[in-house]
Parts: sequence; structure tokens; C-alpha cells
Amino acid sequence: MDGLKLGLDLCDGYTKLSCLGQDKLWAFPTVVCRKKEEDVWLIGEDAYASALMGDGVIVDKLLKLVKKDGTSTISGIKYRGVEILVRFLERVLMLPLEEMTGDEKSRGPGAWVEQLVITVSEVEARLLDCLMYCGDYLQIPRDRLHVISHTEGFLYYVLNQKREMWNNQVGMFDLSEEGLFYYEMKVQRGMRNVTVVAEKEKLDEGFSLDVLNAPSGMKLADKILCACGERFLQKKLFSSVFLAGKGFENQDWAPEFMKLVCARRRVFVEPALFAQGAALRAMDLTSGKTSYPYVMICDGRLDTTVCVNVFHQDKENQLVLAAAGDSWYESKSTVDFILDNQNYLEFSIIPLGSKNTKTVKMVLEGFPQRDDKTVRVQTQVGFLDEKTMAVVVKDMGFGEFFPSTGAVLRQEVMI
Amino acid sequence: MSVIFCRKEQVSHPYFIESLGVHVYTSQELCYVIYHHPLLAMDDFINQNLIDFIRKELDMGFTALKMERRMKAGENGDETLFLFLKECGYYTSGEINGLRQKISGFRKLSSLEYAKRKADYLFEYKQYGKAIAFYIRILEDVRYARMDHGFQGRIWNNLGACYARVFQLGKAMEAYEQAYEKTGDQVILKNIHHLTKLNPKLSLKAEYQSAVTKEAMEAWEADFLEAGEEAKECKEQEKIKELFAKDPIRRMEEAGRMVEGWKQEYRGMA
Repeated sequence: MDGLKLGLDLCDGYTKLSCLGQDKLWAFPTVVCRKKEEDVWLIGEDAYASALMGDGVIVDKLLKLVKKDGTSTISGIKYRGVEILVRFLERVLMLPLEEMTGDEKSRGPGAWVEQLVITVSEVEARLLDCLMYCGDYLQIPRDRLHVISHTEGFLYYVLNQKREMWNNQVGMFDLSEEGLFYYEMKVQRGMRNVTVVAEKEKLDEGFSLDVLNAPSGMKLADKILCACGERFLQKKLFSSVFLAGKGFENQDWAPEFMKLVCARRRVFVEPALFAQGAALRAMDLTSGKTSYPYVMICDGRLDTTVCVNVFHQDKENQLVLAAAGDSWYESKSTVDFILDNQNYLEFSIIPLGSKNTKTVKMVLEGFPQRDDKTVRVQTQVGFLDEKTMAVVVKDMGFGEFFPSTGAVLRQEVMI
Repeated sequence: MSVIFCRKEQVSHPYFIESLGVHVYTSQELCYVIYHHPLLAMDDFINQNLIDFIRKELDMGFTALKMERRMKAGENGDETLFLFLKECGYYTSGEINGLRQKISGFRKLSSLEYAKRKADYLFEYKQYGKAIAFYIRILEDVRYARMDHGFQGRIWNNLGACYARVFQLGKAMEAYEQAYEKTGDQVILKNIHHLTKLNPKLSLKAEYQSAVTKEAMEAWEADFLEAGEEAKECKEQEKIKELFAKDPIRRMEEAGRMVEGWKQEYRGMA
């Protein structure tokens, strides 16, 4: 069989898995249960059932547990959050394999996952590190595992639709156990490329989905959404509006909101939009040429370009170390420079769509100073988050002429 | 003041530059050698091994091809060096032009003067064996007899210095005597005197002794003793003292490395 292209929407409340090749979708609560008497792990509804029967111990809010590096003790065994997340993901990734033979199953996810894209609400370094750890544990190579934000999942889903659906602005309301969110996407057509910018806002008006169980709650929720709809959709031209999340699986509770949102607009309901967006990204990663040749600016991606002015063939050029639109977590570059009669590196930080270039000078204290082009430094650039660049500069020496002094300098730069 | 971008070069087999006794790992280092040691880079520097290194290790196939064609066509080797420097972009056009003028200046020297410069350069980089070969070639050249005594004396003197550095003290003595015959320089007598101190079988010729004053002899003796004292304090001695202060296992490991280093250095010299 071909490798699977999977999109996984992973939240504390729910998990949704989309498999593009099989056109299947799995949705279940993000809970995992270990049986008391044996090392058997169950997820979703099965986990609840086992816990109700009293033969298993359930763990929920896995992402929170992982982010705070918490632990959970089950049957006298203390598990770290990330260890429980590994068990959960292992079970989740087995779901598309129901039709597989035992041999294929026994080979582990690394053998059958061609691309796995996990989408999370907030792209945080700690969570990303843990997800990468899980990937390593499950023997999924790093180049086959990617993590994107919900905003990016939204972008991929929308950009996969017909162009007339995203010519202008696109809005989206996401209502789930996680809260109420508004997403907006804009297209900026430039001389060289098309830039797509998406933003997300968590709305204070968010409510628990339990209120929809009572008629009075439904009415109140409808009113809240109408107010939000008026605030975000009025006086703007939308190519389309999407409604995502479990809250919109059924819209009977929101007649007024639906009337408002559907007036002169195309509206689409897609409860598993983020998982599908992630799966589309997974599919795109497997093709040689991207189907999304846009600069995407959103949560999880950089909105600035970082470069260094370098001299080559008598001309000064800009060497880009990280470009706007790159995933900050995956954006890592290592470049060697020769310092010609200077003891510093200067980075130009260029915000997208702005002419205000900022320069950051990194003085290389403790590095050798020679004026004959023999100071070679290795510069590693990575990001701790969207706004913090970490730079490590090492003295590499100059072959056998000038051995390295071992000088290393690390600096964090706000971009 | 600027920053130069270095292309990625995955060199698994560095290129050994025999005349300098160094391995080169990058195109920048190769450019550095050419730029700072033009006398070593002129003439036979470009060869098939170097071109293979540029092609396979530096992954500069196109540049290697151009250099290879020039070499096979018998074109000016200096221009091939400039071509390589230009392709690497490590030196500016201005710097390459400066080197061009420097090399052109060397090319304008008489062949014996050029050979002496080259031999002197090799001596400076402790390549005594190669320097000796160059000096002997000059002495064997038919044009040598037409050169003035000052030039001839310098050749013999430098040859003597080379022999002395590789501990061929007898030959060094002969060369210094020839140098003294040509120039009558007292400094050469001092060197001869120092050789006699290093090898008691050697002695200052009777006819030279009359040229040496008592004061000069005392000064040379003092210089020799001072040199001996300085040698006791040199870094190498310090290293040996440190070595013996270590525990026996580490001492043997370190001693092995040190002796290997000396061997390599001596091989390079000879």
C-alpha cells in the first residue's frame, strides 16, 4: 500500500484524524485509558467505557499535561505526560490501519505514514518538542512529521477550494469545547508573489457547548453569535464564510446567526476543517511541486525576513537566513561566513510589507581578530517562537593555518 | 569591512600542500595559499591532483573543467590561478589585480634571482630539503659564474643555513666556508664558529682564525651560551616538562603524539 497522508487535529477536548487517501475521518475525545491489570491502552469512547466499567484509569487534557511537563500515576506506575501522549498517538495512528494485515501493523507507524501533519491551536515550542519526541518514539522520520497551527490548517483548507471562494476576504467561526474563535484570511497580490495572511482571535464571548442542551441556552448562544457576526462581518466583502467545530455540526440552535451570516455570502459548514487542512498540507508535502505557491503568514510562521549582507564577486548581496512565511519551528539555517576586518555580524530584519528594516549588530567578543580574511565563523539561526531568533556563532578557525579558538557566542534577538 | 559567504564544501579528503606542509579543506584556504604564497603557487602548483580536488571535493566541476582545458592547452599557469581566485569570489577584483602585479614582478626577475627568492621562501617555511635542491640548481647553472660575489655568497650562506637546520653540519661548514670566501662577512665566521661548537670534530680553518679578534670570539661564545639558555626556556621544553609531570599512561600517549609530530616536521624539512 502507499504511505498514508494524515492530518491530525489535536486538542485537549477532541481529536480528529483525516486520511486523504482513504477519505475517512475519525473524531473522538482526547482521552486515553490504561487498563489496571494489563499494559493495554484505549482511546476515545473506548477509554470512557473502560473507565466506566472500573477496569481502567483515564487521563484527559493531554496537551495541558504535556505543556506543564506533568505526570500521571496509573496502577502504581508514574508516567510523564509525553509518555502518555505517545501511547495516545500510537493508538490514533492505528485507526487507519483497520484493513491492514498483521504484518503491516507490526511494522509501526514509521513504515506506513508517508506524511503526518498535526494541527494544534497554539504552536508552542514545548508542545512541538514533545510531539517531535513522540514522532521519534513511533519511528516516524522528522521529515515526515510536521506541526502546524489551526490558522495554517484553515489556510490550507480554504486555498484548496475554488479561487472565487477566497478572492477577497474569508471569515470563519470555530466553536468547540476549546472556545469560540474567529479567523480571517486576506489575500495580498504583490509584484512577485501572492501573500496570504490569516489571523485568529479568541472571543471572550465563548461558551460551553453544554448550554446548547437547553432552549434558553440556545437562544442566548444565538444572540452571542449574532453580536459577533455583526462585529466581524459588517462592512466587509467576504468571498466565503466557514463554520467549523463541533458547535456547528448542527445549526438549528442558531437561526438568527445563520440568517445574518448567509445574507449575500456563501457559507460552508465543515466541522473537521482543521484536520482536513492538515491532511491537505500532508498531501502537498508528498508532491514534488507545491500546489500552494503563496507566502503564508499566520500563527506558526514568520512574518519577517532575516538576512545578512554578504560580499560576493565584488557585489554586496542579501543572504536570506529565514524568510517571511517560513515555519519558525522548522526554520533553521547554518551558514559559514568569513569576517573581513570586522568583529561583528549584522542582521537585517525586514517585516513583511513594511519598509522599516531593523538591524541587529552582534559583536563577537572573545573571537580572534585577524585582518587577512581568515576569521571563519559558523552561524546557526533558529527560532524559539515567532518573535525570538536564537543565533549561535562559533569560531571555526581557518584550516590548519589558524586552528579554532573554540569561541562560541549565543544571543537571542527579538525580531 | 565585509562578510563573505562561504559555500558548503563537504571535503572528505583534504588536499596536501607539500611546500607548506598543510592540508587544505576549503576553497577559501586554497585561495589563501595562492594569495599569500604566490612564489609557492607559481610554476608547478596546478596539476591533475589539484584539479581533481577542485572537481570532486570542492564540487566545482565547471571551474575544474576550465582549469583542466587551460592546463592541457599549455596556457599561462598564472592566468589559471587568477581564474580560480575569481571563481571562488573570496578575493575582490582589486586584490586579484594586486596579486597579478606581484606575480608579474616575480616573473620579471632574472631566472637565478627568481630561483633564489623561491628557495628563500621555502627556507622560511622550513622546507629545507627543497630549498637545498633549489640552491644547488642555482650553483650548477651556467649563469651563476656571471653573478656578482655578493649574490654568490648569499647562495652559499643560505645553503649552509639549510644544511645546518637538517643537521648536516659537515656540508653546512663547507657551504659557509664558500660563502666566507665570496664575501668575507664576519657573520659567516660566527656561524662557522657555532658549527664547531655543535660538532667538535669540525674546526675553524687556520687561515680564518687571523680574521677573528679576541673580543669577537668572546662575543660569539657568549651568544652561543645565551642561545643554549634560551633553548632551555623555549616552549617545546616547557611542553616536555609538562609531559613528564603527567601520569605514565597519559605521558606515553602524549609522547607518542609529540614524537609523531617531530617526525612529520622532520620529513617536511628533509
